Amino acid sequence: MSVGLRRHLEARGAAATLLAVSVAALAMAYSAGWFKDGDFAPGWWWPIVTAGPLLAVTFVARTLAGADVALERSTARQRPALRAAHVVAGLLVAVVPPALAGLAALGTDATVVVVRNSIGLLGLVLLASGVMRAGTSWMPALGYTVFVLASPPRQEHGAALWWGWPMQPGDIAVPWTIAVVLLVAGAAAYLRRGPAL
Amino acid sequence: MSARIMTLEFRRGTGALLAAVVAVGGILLSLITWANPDSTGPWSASGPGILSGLMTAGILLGPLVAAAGAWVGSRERRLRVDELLTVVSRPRWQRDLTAVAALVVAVTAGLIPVLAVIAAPVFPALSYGGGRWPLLGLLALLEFLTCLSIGFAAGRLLPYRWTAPIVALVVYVAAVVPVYTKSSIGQLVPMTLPGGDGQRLRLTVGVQAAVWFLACIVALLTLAGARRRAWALLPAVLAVAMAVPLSTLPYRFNGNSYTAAWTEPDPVALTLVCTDDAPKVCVQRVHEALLPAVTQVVRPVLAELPAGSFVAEEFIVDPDAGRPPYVPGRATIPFLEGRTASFSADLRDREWLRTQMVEYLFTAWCTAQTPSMERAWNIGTTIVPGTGPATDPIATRLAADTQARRAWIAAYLDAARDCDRPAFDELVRQ
Amino acid sequence: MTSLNMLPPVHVSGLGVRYGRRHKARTALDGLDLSLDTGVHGLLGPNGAGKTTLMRVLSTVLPATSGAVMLLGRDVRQERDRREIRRRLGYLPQAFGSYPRFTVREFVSYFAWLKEMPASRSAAAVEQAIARVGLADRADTRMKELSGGMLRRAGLAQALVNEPELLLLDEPTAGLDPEQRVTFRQLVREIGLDTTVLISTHIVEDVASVCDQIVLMGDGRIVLRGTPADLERLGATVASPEPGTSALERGYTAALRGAGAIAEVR
Repeated sequence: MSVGLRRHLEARGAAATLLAVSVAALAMAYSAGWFKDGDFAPGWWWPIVTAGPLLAVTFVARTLAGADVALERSTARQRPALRAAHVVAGLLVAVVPPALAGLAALGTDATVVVVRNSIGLLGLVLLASGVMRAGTSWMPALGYTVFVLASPPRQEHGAALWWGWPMQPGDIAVPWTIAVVLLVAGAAAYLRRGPAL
Repeated sequence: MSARIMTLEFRRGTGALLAAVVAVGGILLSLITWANPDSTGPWSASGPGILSGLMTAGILLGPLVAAAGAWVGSRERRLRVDELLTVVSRPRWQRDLTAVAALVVAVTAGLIPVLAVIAAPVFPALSYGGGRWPLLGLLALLEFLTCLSIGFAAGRLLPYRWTAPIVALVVYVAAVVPVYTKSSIGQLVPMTLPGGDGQRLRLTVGVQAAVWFLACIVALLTLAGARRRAWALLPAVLAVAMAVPLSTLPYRFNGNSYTAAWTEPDPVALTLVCTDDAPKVCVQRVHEALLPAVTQVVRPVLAELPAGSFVAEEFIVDPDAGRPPYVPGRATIPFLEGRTASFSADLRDREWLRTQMVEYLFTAWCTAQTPSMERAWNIGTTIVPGTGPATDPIATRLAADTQARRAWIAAYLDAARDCDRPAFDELVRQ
Repeated sequence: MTSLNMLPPVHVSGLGVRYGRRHKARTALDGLDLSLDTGVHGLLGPNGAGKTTLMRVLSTVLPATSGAVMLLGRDVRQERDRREIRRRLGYLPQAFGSYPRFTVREFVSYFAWLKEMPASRSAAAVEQAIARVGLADRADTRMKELSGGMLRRAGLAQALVNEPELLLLDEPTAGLDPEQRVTFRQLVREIGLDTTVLISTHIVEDVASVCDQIVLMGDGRIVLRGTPADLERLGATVASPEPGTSALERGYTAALRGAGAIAEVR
């Protein structure tokens, strides 16, 4: 790894982010194990498969911009290619550790939901990072997710598929479509403009 | 505390945004609940019912309020004004109190429209304020202030970029885990506070809970803002002293949305209010607004019963209570909590009420059920007009003959009252 | 024994400040003695000389590791005294943040409240402070919309709003345009008539034009105390290595290079 790349990763807090996401994934696995062992109300795993990805993308948001966005914009390396690399790396970090936690402790069905939610919520964070500072780009994702968690959709059809997509089963097409569209739109906006000043 | 500075904090700080988020989030949550046909609405024509709706919104709003608290708590470090603020003469606790007060105003301002949306549709039908509702209202407010203090203290002590979202998630987890685990420790969590129609908070428990929340708030704010943080120990000890008895109360739902340890029947709310004209239909005072709708549903059933019969809403459902006391001529309407249509003072499901009432009417409280009893029950529950369809040959015959049907029902009720097995055998032999 | 009332507004004796612990410890100030009377004092010195540390100690941000610091006749170590000192203190740090959504007026008036100014005097004092720094036409502009120089002037306005008896300005003219710098100098001269002002700066023109006294620091100690004229005189005695340097700049360099030169000036 070149010295420049190493410094860039340091500047974006790559190691701390990876550590934080891993801790979040461990917390997901631990809480899933704890719930599994007890006699709890059905649906106990929904908060885990929704809040876990939210935590992961919140940590990843920190890597989307450096300490001084204006200074970074003036450098030659700030090209869409570098931003694309950030999106791909961010996607991997936001998806893989929570998905592994899901596979280890929750089973395939829940893991599919974890992956979908990580993708969609990362898209939301990327979209937000274009209009508000990267430091606050977690806010819409947090507000929306807590809203859905507090008012879980009870139907698996109709409008609930759209507004409550993070809490829908993983084998339905509409929530997946929404998640992918969010990611594509977020990535496109981020590649084009980069983080907001 | 300067009102001018508080206004400044509100307008230019996070206050205005928080008020908007609380209002929009709370209203949206209410609308989703309303749009959901399966949901039992929090609306009811009583003070505790309305407040209970507001408290439930705390599962969404609590984490958001905590995030706002953390955002403001970590503001000095984030905005790099800590050095400027170090050299000012005004003590830090005064600054903090102003910032927190602005957020309290924001939360209150945001909750008012939410409360209006929850309460306005049923307000004209408000038949009863509810026993000790001011205490419940205080607890509802303290619920949000506790979340705010948790966030503020976390933001001040850990002024990092991700403190706010993490605090929000922690508060959310703390709010929902007790719901899933049904652990008695959940009684310390503000969002799971009890509220129910016809119930009032037990005074001792209510006061203990208020002191618990207040002590937590004071301890957290002292920890965040006092020059000598050790002072936080005093309210912390008080909080623990309240937490121990509260968390060891038996955590048992008794069929409704409250725990028996926290609430007691509210005698005024449970007073029966009846129609003036016969046949008499009675509901509890707390559901008085539903009386016209209930009367419309139950009168056709009542017409099938022996002369002098009346129908009254039962007292609190208790699965362990066994056979209700026998009152001659009395038929029962099930407890109506949660049966109000959202955003109205009307019944949510009239068919349900008719079916439930008929099923109650024909329930025989006998130790052992015989095939005759079961068949008779099936006949009974399908011959009353509006129920059915009648499949049993006896039921088909009775459904067409009003006189014979009413006589059969009168005989059934006598048999059910006395658990008279030969009489049941006779009823299905006809 | 010196009576407290007889002490000058700034009286520091044996001041030591150390950062870090054990083998990583670094001495920023080392047994520093300093007394400042009413007037404008310039604090000069190279990077890392300890100027900002001294400013932070005098502004009560940083506690001293050793020695005594008496400000406005009070001991900064005493909580009650410190609060009283802070009421009468104005401080502009080298770098500071602000509340981005506040307007200039709101920012200054918030600091008037933080400095416990009586409400009756506050509104007028805020307007006056904003006018003094030349931001009257920007009073309703949000802080996040200000340029670097304007932000600095807003910072100066908050330092002045409580009409301080001790004013500490760390690099106050950084980012100001030449015209603003001239206005600033006039303002500081005016304030210095009845206030103790300490300006930490690298801009020797500022020192020459506004300061009555100079404190030159090097390696955590005071290297020279005198007037700008003394420093100019010292500069005149040494040959200029670079064309275009002023006598004051040459004196500054010479003073830092050798104690002999200092003795010569004295």
